[in-house]
Amino acid sequence: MQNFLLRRFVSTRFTALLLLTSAILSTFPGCTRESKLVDNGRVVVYHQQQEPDALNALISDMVATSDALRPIQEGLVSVNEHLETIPVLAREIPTIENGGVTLTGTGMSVTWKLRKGVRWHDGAPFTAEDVKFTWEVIMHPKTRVTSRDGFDKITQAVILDPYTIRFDFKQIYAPYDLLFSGGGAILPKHILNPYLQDPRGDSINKAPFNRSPIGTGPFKFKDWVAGDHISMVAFDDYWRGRPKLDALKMRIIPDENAAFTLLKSGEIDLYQSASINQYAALRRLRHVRVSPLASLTWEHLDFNLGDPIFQDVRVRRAIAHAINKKQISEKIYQGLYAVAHSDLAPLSWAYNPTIENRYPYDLDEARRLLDAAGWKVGLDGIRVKDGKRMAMRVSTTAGRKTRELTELVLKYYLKKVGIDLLIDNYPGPILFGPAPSGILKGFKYDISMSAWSAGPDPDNFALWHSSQIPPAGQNHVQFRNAELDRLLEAGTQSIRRSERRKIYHRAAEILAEEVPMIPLLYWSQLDPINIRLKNFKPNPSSSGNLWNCYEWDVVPLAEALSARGKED
Amino acid sequence: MGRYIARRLLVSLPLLVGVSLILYVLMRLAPGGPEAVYGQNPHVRAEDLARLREQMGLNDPILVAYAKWFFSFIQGNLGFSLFTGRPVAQMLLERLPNTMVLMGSALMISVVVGVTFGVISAIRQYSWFDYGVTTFAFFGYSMPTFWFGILMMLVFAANDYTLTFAGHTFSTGHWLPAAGMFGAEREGTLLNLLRHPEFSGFVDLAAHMVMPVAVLSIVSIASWSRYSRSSMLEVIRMDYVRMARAKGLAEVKVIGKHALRNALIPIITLVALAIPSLFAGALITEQIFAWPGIGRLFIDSLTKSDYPVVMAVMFISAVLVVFSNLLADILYAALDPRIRFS
Repeated sequence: MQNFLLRRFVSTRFTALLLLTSAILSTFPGCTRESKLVDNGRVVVYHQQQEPDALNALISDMVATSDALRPIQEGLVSVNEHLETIPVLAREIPTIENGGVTLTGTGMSVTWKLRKGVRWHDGAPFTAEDVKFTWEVIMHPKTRVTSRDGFDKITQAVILDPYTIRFDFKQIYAPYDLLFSGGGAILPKHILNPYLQDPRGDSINKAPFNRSPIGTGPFKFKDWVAGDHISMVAFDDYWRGRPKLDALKMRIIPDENAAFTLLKSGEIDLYQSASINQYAALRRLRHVRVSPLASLTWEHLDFNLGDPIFQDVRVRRAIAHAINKKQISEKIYQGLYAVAHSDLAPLSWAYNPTIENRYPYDLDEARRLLDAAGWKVGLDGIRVKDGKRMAMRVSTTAGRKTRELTELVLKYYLKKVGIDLLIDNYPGPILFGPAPSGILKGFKYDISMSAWSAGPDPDNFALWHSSQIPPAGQNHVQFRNAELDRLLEAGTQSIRRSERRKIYHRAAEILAEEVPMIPLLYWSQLDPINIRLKNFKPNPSSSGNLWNCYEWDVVPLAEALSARGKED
Repeated sequence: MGRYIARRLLVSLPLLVGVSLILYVLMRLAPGGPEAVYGQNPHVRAEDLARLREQMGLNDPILVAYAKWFFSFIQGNLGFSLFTGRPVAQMLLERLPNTMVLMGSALMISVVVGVTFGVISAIRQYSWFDYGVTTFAFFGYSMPTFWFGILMMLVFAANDYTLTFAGHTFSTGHWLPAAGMFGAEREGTLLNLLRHPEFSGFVDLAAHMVMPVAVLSIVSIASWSRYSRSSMLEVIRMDYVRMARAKGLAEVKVIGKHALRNALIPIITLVALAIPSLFAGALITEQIFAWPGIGRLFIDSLTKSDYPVVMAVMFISAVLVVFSNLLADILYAALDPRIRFS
């Protein structure tokens, strides 16, 4: 989420240097030997590149925060490794079919039935009061919550009995089931209420709780050593039963080479989001298992539709035809990132497969489209129209090797059809910065390359609706399409999945037809683990890899190694 | 002397106010800003951003915001981090011991080793030792810390290479922990360790310090040995050194009592000038070795535009630079009777 320019810059250079060093060292005659590895016993140590701001998911939307809180706090629901919503503190997911959701004129009511017998880490019982309180914290004017999206559609929360709560919505809100999943993890009213009621100021944002939280999760918070680690111990009274591990420790390791070395020596058991440059080296480690997992993040090229060149759809289609995505995937991303066709991932229930390969790599078609659009090849091989050369810039985050290589390849592809592409990159905070100084939101780009992360819900209102053109939203492409606007509005106004699927299939059709952006690749995540860790199920959603830490287990590393020896 | 110090202090006040104003305005004018971290999250809508700006106090004009910051700073209130909601002073204090132990050890080692090397190579000018030290100095000086850090990690922590070099075979091993300050099995902080001293804790800490301290020292041993070499060379050509020799004093006494003491004066002032780095830490080394110091806090805060933290680190560094300069001048006067301030 956060673009750490310096860190990126530093770590990509480091990777290149490490590879160089490894190459030099591997030329020495010699062989690898069985090494003496660290075994952390009944404790699992996992890696995180960044340090959380605060252990309160409402005021910190970092991945690191979510990774540290997942073992400690729980929501009403969670998203599993297949992107299905599963009940956690709720007994079931309310739907129209089971009577949990009722439509009331233009609005709706959602009734949650809560799990009984759940206890907070301090022994207090978990009840509907806590759920109502969490919503009140989010909506309180003093709370520095990052987003109220969806929560602000709720008009009132009614406690029907200690384990049943009804939320009344002023309009139909389709992703209602995900509201209390991650970012809306339930907070303990008996601890935080005094801070919320404190009339003197914003003490809820500064509560000591934000650095030593409690929850209902499988692990209790123990200690946070600034800049170093956060540790947690098993909660004996966890409602699913005591977790199998004794403790968890999240170590904060900013440098990817250090993380790699720590995994290699056994000091950490899980290295999250390894660099794809490390894939080959990771696969050679006998005590490590690494399996690439398709993620929901997709890399794409955006056109600045405010620029007259791109207002002609034939130009956008021609560029789409001129790019060999398969080659980029194979040559630059080692085949780990799959070719993308849509703003939704194939993992999504709303994915429309009929738009795949609408724009195959076809230089003749690209040239024909550009000719038809009135761009004629000039003396230097670059097309010209009304005295204007067909030159454009591509902008992305500076310092990311794979993106910079992709830009060079794009330059080569577009040159073949008579377009001169110039490279003009910026550090992340400047590229993604707010309007008017931000490059994207200030419309100061021609073509941009960046990634968006899709949620389990297919709603991309903020990306494509005409009301979301900056400064208001993320539609820096400035795409305006009346039919798409209507579809996106209807998409969140509908509850039935079959209806919504039709809506999003049509929306994908429009995006494929109009090409306001070109989807390039779906990212893959590499989360290598020490093979002594069992029941690890990597999760591409924002639930993250820690989502099922209650069922994680370990075996002695020596045992795991000999079992692997037999597999080989 | 007292009047001189008072005057210097008085002059430095407007200087520091000016520095803080420039730092603050430049920081605020830099593109990005605290809300940039939410730029790619579609759930953070325009109304959320507007509310966050108001809650973070970003809607004040820059000079008003600066005045607010300045007046609370001079009352000793460093403010609250925009992202953690914690007092900035607390965030700095919990990391300060980590940075000081790292930078202090590196400074001590590099000064002791560097000055020793420099003095010996000055006494034995153009000897093999002098050439050796000079070569080593330039090697260390031109070594980028990030490259050197990774190289050390590979050789001393990564554990599965067998190298054959010049006919000798040797294996790299997991001799040293790759990163962090304490091993995974140890909880707590440096202060806890000092409160409840435990031998194995200090051993663990020392093992974690070897690589970052080595990287930091090797780079600066170079400059210390060059400084002290030239300072020493200048002194041993002086008439009073020749006089001491002519008196028939033992060489040890000539070098130790007459030459070295005078050659060390500029070195001591340079050590005083290194004081700010004890606070500010080492950006790259702390990043590579996951050292929980102020340098990393600064990078993290800078990339998020966490203004109160960035401002506190930069301004405290500026104050330390001004005062360590003053301290260097005072030390110079105290050590060298030829210098008098008026």
